Amino acid sequence: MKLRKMVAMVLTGMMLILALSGCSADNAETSADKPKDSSSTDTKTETETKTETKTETDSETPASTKEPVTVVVWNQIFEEWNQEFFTQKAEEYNALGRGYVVEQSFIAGDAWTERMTAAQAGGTAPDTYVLSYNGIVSAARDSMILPLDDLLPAEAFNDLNDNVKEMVSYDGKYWAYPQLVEPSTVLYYRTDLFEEAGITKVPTTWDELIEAAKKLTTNDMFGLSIPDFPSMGWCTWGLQHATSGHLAINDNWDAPLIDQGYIDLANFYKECYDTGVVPEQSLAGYATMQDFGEGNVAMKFCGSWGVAQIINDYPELADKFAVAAPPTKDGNQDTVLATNGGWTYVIDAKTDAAEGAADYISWLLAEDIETSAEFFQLASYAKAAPRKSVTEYLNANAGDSTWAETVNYVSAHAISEPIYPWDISVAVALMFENTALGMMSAEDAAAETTASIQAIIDNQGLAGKNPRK
Amino acid sequence: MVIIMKNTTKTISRIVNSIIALAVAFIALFPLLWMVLASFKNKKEVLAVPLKILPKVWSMENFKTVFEDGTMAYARSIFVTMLVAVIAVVLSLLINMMAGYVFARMNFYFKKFLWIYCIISMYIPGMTILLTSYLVVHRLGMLDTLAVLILPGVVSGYNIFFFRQFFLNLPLSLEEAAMIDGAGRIKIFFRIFIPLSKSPMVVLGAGTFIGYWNSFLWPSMTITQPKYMQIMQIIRSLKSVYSTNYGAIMAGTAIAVIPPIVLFFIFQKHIVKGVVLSGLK
Amino acid sequence: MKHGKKDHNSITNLDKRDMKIAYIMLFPALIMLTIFVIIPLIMAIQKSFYDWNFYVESIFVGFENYKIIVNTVYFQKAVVNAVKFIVLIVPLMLLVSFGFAHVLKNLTSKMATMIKTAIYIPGIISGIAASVIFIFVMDYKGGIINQVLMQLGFDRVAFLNNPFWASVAIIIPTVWLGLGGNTILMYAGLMNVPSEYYEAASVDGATSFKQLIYITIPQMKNIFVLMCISLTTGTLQMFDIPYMLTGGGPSNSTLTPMLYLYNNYRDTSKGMGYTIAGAVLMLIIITAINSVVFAVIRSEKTVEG
Repeated sequence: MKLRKMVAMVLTGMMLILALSGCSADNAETSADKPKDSSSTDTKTETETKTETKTETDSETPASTKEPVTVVVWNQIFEEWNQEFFTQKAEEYNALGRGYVVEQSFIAGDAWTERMTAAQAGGTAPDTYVLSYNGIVSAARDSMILPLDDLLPAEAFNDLNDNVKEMVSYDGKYWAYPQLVEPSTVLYYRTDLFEEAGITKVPTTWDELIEAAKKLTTNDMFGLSIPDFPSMGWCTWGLQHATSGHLAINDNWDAPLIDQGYIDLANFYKECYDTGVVPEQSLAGYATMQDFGEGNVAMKFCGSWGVAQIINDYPELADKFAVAAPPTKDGNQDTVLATNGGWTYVIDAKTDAAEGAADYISWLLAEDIETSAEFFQLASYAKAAPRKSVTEYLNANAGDSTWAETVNYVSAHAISEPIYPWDISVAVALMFENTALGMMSAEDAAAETTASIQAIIDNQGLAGKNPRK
Repeated sequence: MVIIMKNTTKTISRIVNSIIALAVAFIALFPLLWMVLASFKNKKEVLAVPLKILPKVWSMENFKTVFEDGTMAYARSIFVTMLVAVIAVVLSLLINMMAGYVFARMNFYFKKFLWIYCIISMYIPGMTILLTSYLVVHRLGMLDTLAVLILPGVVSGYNIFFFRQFFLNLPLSLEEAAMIDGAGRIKIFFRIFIPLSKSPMVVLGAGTFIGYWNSFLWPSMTITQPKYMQIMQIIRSLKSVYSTNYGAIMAGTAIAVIPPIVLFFIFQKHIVKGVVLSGLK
Repeated sequence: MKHGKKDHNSITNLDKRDMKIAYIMLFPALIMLTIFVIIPLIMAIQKSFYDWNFYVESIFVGFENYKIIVNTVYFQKAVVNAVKFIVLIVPLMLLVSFGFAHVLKNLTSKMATMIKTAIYIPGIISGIAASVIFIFVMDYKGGIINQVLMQLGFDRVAFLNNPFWASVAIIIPTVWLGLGGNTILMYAGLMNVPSEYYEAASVDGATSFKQLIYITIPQMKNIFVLMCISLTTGTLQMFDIPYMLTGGGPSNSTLTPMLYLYNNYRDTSKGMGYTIAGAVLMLIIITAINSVVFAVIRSEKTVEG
């Protein structure tokens, strides 16, 4: 019966493998060992070899390493110029030979989250990556990223504008270094079409906005483009605040605050649909100016980043558009009008190249003023710099951009993005969606959203957990 | 008289049915035709109001855009996907055929248990094991390799099942003669069974190829480096990269659906037969 | 079956030498299944009992995750949607493919082959690519469907942003992809019904409707059942088309269970435990439905045997 024994042994062995892997699976998260060897892309070898010749030993790097330490950077794909800028910067940095080699991947926004989830699940997250302001606190709270106080020089943080300082800090520490600040909502409009339609006053109230949109709507042009529903979760924060004086939950994080202001806002979106001035199905996402640029809509809500998109991608519109503060219900333009959003660099908690990551971030964002300023020039001065020194430099050097003033005005009237769980914002977006599409009355939608926010608060035990309080 | 009438009704019914069939076939193929036309149109024509059916100038611009876009690495992903699919087909045929043969012709301990062990994979939704599979391949250091694209999908309970059915229907006398001549099992498998299995090999090989070509979820979890990016990952991102430049999006999609369609045309008879067999089991 | 049905007792010495070879030949399949299917499955089941977060220690929570997922509004909504799609897609697909198989039956066989080939082509295309094509076809302003509707004097349809039409927008490509394969199956089933039955019925003067009810449908019962099941489990697992076309919207009207789970996988701020619990629940449901297949096959055997 030798054979029988053998088979039994093989089977037992197989079971053992099963059991072992099952039990020890939890350790998978703590092993941040494997990844780095597999991540070198052939496209970057050229720059790597270039650096090796110039490498100086940095006192901060482990003394024994002659080879530069690789720093893996994940960046998002935004506009083409943006990607070119950061590619070029990484090459410049590598050529300096500061002891580290940056290896940068650009990942499309729709692929980003699953890649990041997968990488984090496997402990192979990049050493440093871009993160939006509203993600910082939860990442910090869950120890997914490292505090930067000891990694970056103190003057890097001292140079930040005060509102930005607050946006990157949690629990008395700095967790991210900001790249830019941009108001998430401004109103773009076509000056030539305004003239044609005889509209002399830029709308400041919702009624005026819809009136103007009606005049601008023709057979093959819609008067206005409002956010698509998935985006409403985040890009309506400013308007939520403008209309109701607060955001979706109270400061103590124990009760939903969906009140009349929210109902009014939901009804405003409904009116946009009902009057037929916006396409019933968005022609382009909120963050892209494509529909505006291609002449399909005459007015559009979008973040300030849209300016650079128009200038770069639709130069024929460059002198035919203008930017205004977003209209509000009662026309009050001296209230919160938007949120200040944007991108920061953070360092993964499991990195083994924290110094290198910090060195790159510091060089890219926190040191030379002109390096930073170049980015904002490329962005057509439609983004705000987070550093005082860079802001001054830009103010002194900004050309005759007509929009810079508006962008700065809105930015000054913007609050930072809420840090409560994203689910809550999704629930609010669902309320607007349900109302606007006529699924239910705004009041019913508000009641439903109130209930689902309450459920989120209960399920996730949010009461009293506001880290910023 | 009656017979003539019967014949006329038959002819009429045949004509009516032919018209319906052609209409359905046209509707079924129309989206593909529309995609191909769009890929030759320029940016203005592609969504033009009113409709432009044919492009004014048949322009290759869109194909150029897609192929020359450095960040998309489109051409490379076509090549890598093809490579992965071909290797996977070879491995998959060999391994599953061996298993099917063993289950059809041989006797051994734990046969029933191992049989269930093998075909159970047919019924597990990919989404259930997506994340934990990721943890496993990560632990094995397989992320961002060709292996992680190829290996996990190679063994298929369904293919084993299919091969076993096929072998069961071959007469026993086949190997009995060979056995008397002293040929071993492995020799019989390679010399007799493989040459006889062309038709299931074509069916399952084509199916495996198409499955790999179309796979999306798994690569998007496990491949982060552009060098091994699979074609469907690229197709998914076309919309976010080119936004409303539908000409380029359609050009990219058109090229990506060509290989499976070509494969289908080459082996269509077998594949259609295979669809029937697989459905009727 | 007849060859494999030897009893353990009858395994001879010759077979034993064979056995070694059998295990060797099976080994690659077994080892790969173990690594890539069975281990992940066991891990998934295990993880479903833990509060599991990538950067924090896992905590055993018993059935808590199952309680959470069952009580999650969006998951409930997704399951309701799945049922809605099953109710719409399965009968539609059965009817259309059955009807079209009849059309094919009345053609010359050469033409039938040609048409079969033509309608099977979309079936080879991935849901991802198909969705991209349909996003284009259903574009709000310049899409061909809306332009034709405008020409005919109708209003534009917001296919992807109207709760009713979004479901239609999901169903159209789904049927498009599945039509060929299902029609071919139905056609094969139809051809398998012995023509003598019809001839006998014609002689008895049965109308074609009666023939359909009393001959065709009973004869094809098994095909209907098997197709029903594979369509049902397929629809339950619908993912790439809603993922690409609507992202589950508007108002979550096209959110499917698999899409919900996938979106949760992507959200690192949530615990993975209850998502995995949802995935395990789906596995249980799908396995339960599939087991009907075995029941059918077994009943068929008892009839034959």
